[in-house]
Amino acid sequence: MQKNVTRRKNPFRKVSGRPFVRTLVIIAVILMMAALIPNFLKFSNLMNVLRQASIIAIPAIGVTMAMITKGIDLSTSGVIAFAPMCVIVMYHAGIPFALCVLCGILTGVLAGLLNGLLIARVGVLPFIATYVSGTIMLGLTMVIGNGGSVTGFPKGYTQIGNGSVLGIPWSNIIMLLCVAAGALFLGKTKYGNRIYALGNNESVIRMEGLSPEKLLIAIYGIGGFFSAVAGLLLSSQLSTVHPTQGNSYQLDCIAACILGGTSMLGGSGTVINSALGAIGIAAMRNALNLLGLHPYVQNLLLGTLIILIVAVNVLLKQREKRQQEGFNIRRADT
Amino acid sequence: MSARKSKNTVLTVVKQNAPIFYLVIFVLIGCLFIPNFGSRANFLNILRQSAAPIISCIAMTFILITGNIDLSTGYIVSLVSISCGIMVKTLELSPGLVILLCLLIGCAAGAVNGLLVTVFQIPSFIVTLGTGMILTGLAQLVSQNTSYHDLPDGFRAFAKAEPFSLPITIFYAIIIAFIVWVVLHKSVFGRELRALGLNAQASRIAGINEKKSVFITFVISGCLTAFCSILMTIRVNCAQPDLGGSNFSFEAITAAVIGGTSLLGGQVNVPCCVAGALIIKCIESWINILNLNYYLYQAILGIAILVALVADALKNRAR
Repeated sequence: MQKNVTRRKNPFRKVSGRPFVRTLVIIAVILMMAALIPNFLKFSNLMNVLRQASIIAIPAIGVTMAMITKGIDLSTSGVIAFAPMCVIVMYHAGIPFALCVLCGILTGVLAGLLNGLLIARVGVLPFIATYVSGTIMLGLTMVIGNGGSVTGFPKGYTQIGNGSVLGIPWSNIIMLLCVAAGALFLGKTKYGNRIYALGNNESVIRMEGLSPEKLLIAIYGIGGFFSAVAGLLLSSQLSTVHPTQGNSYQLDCIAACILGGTSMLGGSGTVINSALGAIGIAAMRNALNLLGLHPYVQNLLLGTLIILIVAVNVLLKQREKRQQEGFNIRRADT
Repeated sequence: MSARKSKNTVLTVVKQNAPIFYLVIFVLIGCLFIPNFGSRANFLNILRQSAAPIISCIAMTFILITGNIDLSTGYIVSLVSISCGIMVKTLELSPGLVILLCLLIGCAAGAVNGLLVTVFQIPSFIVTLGTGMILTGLAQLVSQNTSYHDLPDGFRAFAKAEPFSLPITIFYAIIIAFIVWVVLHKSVFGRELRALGLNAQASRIAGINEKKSVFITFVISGCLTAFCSILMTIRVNCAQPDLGGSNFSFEAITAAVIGGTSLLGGQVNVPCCVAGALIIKCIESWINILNLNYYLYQAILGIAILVALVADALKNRAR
């Protein structure tokens, strides 16, 4: 009995699996929004969009790396709130500001390393480990800041978030630097290669004699670093620290990575695509704001978008797997 | 020989029901060291506060058994709360009908989650993250920026009655806990759920319909969460679109994990889950009485669940 397995053509093959086409789609959507909404293409508005996108794109670097290794990082909102809260509380206690900033970034790194330890050494599932550590960070932020916003940054600090040089906001420059660094690290160095290997075929890492655990810990540590940087940038934009300032950015960050083609099932995704996804999400929110839609309605649309993209992603992977199995059956028959 | 066997049995019983013993220890320490903790008024207060967390913890347990998670329960609470308010105040429906409709809304939300998890096979945490956003957006849309205060007494009597001078909500919680215990340990459905959590592949080969079972757990969880929402709305006497929220989901997960439910699925102990919910409410009571910074509560909860997770992961290393 010979199984007649035909190889069905993938109807989504033009859009899926090709990051370049995906970014073209994003740009097309942006152009469409520009055509439909007045004031969208104004230079000041576009710079605003990029400034918002920077807070989404910078943690997205770490989240992309985590998602490549089949994990996720749900602690970004916690670190975005906790790091600047540490900075401002230490600054009010009289410690020199540069040292405060250093400590703030260090807390982000430590939080990330804690995540990595829980995931790699203890064996807790990534989403619950980062979810819990994020909530602990949020709780600590509220304890330190007594539940409310805290202001009082030094004068020059808010210039970083709101000022610009040669017309380009500092936020965008910082985003560019971080994204470039992340993309180079992930795409061109051997460590980046090993991260992809961790997501695709973990046994290769062990065969090379390296430790996947140490790599995982490092990945989440890097994620914590970038989340802290984003938190400090956000606080400088707002010139205040509020415990829940990072909540919407965390969801946008995950959406940006998914929109940018990073698969939930691990193994693929690039920093630049996630950054472009971040710009897309920020542009979408900006457009919906200009249209007068309430942020909660935006969340509704964003949630639907996330589910849609992940569903399509999973379905395509299943179809690919079935085609591969069909191919293997045919090979076995001959 | 028989003496050693009985000693082993006692040890196993303690190990398997550890959360209940932790609860007893917590209560004892509270009574001994914290003023006013042992008073009847305080215990009544804790019981009154625990009814909703117990039911939500049990709802979360259903989902955790099969190895999934539901991060949208807090937002189901929001949606049901504001729908409840609209139905009671604007549409002026009878209390029984309102409760039924609210439970149906919870079932519908659970059904959406269940569909996305089973049919599309998307990881449950990303599904419920997305549906949570959708539900909170929906709740805000439906509310149109109004909250409904001063709900009618006929409706409030559902959760405000006090038979035997104990709050009726705790009786609801005990009855639900008992029903769930019966379902999980004495029915075929319960056995299938636990089998699915322990070894999904073997269960599928054995003929258990994984998709149907997981779908039903999400629907049940949504229904129980809606019930919680009704109790909470009546207690605060205000139907609002931001009742519950992410704190609610986190408390439910914390209570379930402290109560010994493994996140990998398969193990469940209903009395321990109830004990887990009571433990976190005792901790809250300590913080309130000792006048500590209230925000410490969330941080302590986080550390508590972290400890429970680490213990659980280390125990399950072999799996």
